[in-house]
Amino acid sequence: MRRTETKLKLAFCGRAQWSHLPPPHSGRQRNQHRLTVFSRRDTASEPAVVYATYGISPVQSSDLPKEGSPEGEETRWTPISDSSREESRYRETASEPAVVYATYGISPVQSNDLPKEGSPEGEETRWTPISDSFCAEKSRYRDTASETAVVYAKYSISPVQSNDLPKEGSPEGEETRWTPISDSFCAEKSNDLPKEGSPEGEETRWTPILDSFCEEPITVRLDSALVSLSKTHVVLIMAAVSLTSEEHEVTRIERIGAHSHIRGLGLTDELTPKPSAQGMVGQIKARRAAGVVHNMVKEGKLAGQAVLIAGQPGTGKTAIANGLAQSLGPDTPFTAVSASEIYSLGMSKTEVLTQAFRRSIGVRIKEETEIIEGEVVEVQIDRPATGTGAKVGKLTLKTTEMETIYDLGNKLIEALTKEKVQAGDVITIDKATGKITKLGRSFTRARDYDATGPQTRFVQCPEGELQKRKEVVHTVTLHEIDVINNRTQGFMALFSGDTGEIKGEVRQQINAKVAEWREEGKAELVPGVLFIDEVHMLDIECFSFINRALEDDMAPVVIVATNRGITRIRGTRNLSPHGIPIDMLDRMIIIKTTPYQEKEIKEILKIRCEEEDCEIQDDALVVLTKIGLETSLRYAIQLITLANLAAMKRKEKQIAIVDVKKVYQLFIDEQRSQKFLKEYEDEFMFDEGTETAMETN
Amino acid sequence: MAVSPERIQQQLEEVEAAAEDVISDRQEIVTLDRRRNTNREALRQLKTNKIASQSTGNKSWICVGNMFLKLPNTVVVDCIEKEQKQLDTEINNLRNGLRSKVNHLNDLEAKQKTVGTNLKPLSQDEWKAVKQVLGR
Repeated sequence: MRRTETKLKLAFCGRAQWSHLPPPHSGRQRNQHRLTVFSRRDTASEPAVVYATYGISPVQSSDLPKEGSPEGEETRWTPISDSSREESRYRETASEPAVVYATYGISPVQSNDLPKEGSPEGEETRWTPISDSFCAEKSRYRDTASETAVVYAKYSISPVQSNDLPKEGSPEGEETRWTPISDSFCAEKSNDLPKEGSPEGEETRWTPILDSFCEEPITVRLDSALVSLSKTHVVLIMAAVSLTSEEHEVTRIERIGAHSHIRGLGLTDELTPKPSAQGMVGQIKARRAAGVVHNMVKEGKLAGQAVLIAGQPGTGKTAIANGLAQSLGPDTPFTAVSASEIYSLGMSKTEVLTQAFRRSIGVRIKEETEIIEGEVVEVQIDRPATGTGAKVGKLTLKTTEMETIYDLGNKLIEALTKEKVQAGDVITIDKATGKITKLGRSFTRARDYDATGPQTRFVQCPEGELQKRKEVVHTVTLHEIDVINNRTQGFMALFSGDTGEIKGEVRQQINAKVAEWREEGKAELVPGVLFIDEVHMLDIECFSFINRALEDDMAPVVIVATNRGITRIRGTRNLSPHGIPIDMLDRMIIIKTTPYQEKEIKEILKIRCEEEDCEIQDDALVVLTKIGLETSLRYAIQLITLANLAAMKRKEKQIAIVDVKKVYQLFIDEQRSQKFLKEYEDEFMFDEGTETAMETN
Repeated sequence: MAVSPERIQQQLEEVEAAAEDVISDRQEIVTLDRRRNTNREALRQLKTNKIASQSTGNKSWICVGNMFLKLPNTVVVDCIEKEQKQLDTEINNLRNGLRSKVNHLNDLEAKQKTVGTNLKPLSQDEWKAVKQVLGR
């Protein structure tokens, strides 16, 4: 066996190809490495097998397919072939298992764990295919079918727990261990990871799932660098695709803001926060509380409740709110306002608040239409020879399952000629309105040298029946409905002096209509979240208004955040905790955030470095962490980009200590600034002394 | 998490059964729709060729099961229209049932429920009004 080498072996049905992994990137350490496994489309019986062996102690030779023993491999990786392509999707997918094993540890993989050579039925019984064949739509099928293989790559000193590794001498253990688990069980659950000491646990873990129809390369993300350490790591992947790490699509350029690295709350399914996930680090208790709030919002149980997130500056309050917003998803309306926005001169304070409230409540309605969707085989329109008289025409539409001919009336003929529908287009005809929509051209009609316009899209031939029922669910916020109903039509708006305020009667009418629809079952309310930041800026009138508004039956969840201690309530002379009146505080659930520890600060700085596209050396990171501890987290974050610029000036790609020191000298933080000011206050204009300066720490 | 193989098997069986249900329903819808289309084509032919078929004595051949019958056109048209109505209701029923079955399947597979599927749809003019309001 190979020792202390990082190698990948790609085997396609007996043919073994060794190929080296690319060396771990020294620069951008995302702690992930791509392992690309290509699977061919028609590899019904050719699972791609990837072996990666690392470490000192070799895997037992019987475990790994021997080089030069093709049948050895064949017998092991028995695919269940997919005989007929014409079968339904279920069959296609049902017959291709992909097996993922990842075993790491000192003790080598026991032979009885891996499929034995020459025991074909043994394999068949083990490799139960489970596929996501039950999706209603093809696209979903494809998506999920490729998310089914689980790859665990752990390279570390601590070995994988022993019960992951096939135990020596427990033959039934093997059979029971390799349980196919379908895509439905979350791959990120801790119970997916091999646990020590629970033999049956393994069976539940190693789900064979194969997407042999993947046309693109399947990418496997491994959690850490594939550098050989002192352990044996055996990764057996058969045409596997993994989505264990977080992926998000960046389809548009997003501005890098102070909280743009946050993708969610980073919780597991049991609402325990992972130490660092989805951009959030530390703050375990506050994140756990936010997770509970998230679940209650999703179930609609917290409507009309208020939540307060309080803590020192720079402790992640806005970050938690952002994480909560992201994790609720695009379905739930989330409105984030800053309390000072209330004081706009265009509208009264209560109007701004009411609009903010109504922007956080969504109404879900459904639209149903019958459409005829198919690919045009032939369009035939006959004009009468006499010049007058109606045109007649025939339209042949087909889907993958059926084909039929339609007689065309005048209206449809006009619509078809207007849209310039030709053979090979995929169109949709709305049965009720007769509207024709072109979805694109069919792939089957694409030729090599077609001259197509810039807008031409190629779509697949539609499946299923020709006459489909299309249901579209819309979520609109109450505010949108208010605004458009309130708009005075036409030129009357010029004379009416539209203040932007919405009349109470309009709102009442809309409430009544929505209530009527709710009773009829045609609409449902989606209570969302209203987040008010810097809530100490609200004055006593606003607080009274919010008190009342929360009692409404259509009220969202209100989350507020502040970093003030005991301050004066605006509009009064009374002091109160956080600047919020006590009766309002009584209605609130309070989440506390604590200042970050050094380790957490380091982690956060690392995430920000990645987000801002800077590479930083380790010792520079340590220095930056110390600066963050002594001064403030925000200051350290701001130094990152500045230090990056300093490094670029030196023509280096990485931030070094000297860069950090330089920008530390150039840009002073708040404490040094105060000190400087105290020393030289006489020399500043209009200075009145520092006794009344606000203490922010 | 230690789960016994029997439990896993049982779960798999449930998922399989539910999936089979859904898929067979959809296949049935396709078949019914095919029949509906052929019926529609036949109706069109009968209606357009009514003038031309005066000569054949207002009778046409229809195929029922494995029998061919020659019946007067009015009877044939009636027959086909009745069958169309029946097919329509059947397809609608299947589609309505499909919704709950897919939800059940999603449950079993621990996927998220598709939202809003238990809503009744808005009527035609209500939707037109909403579209106008929202400007979509």
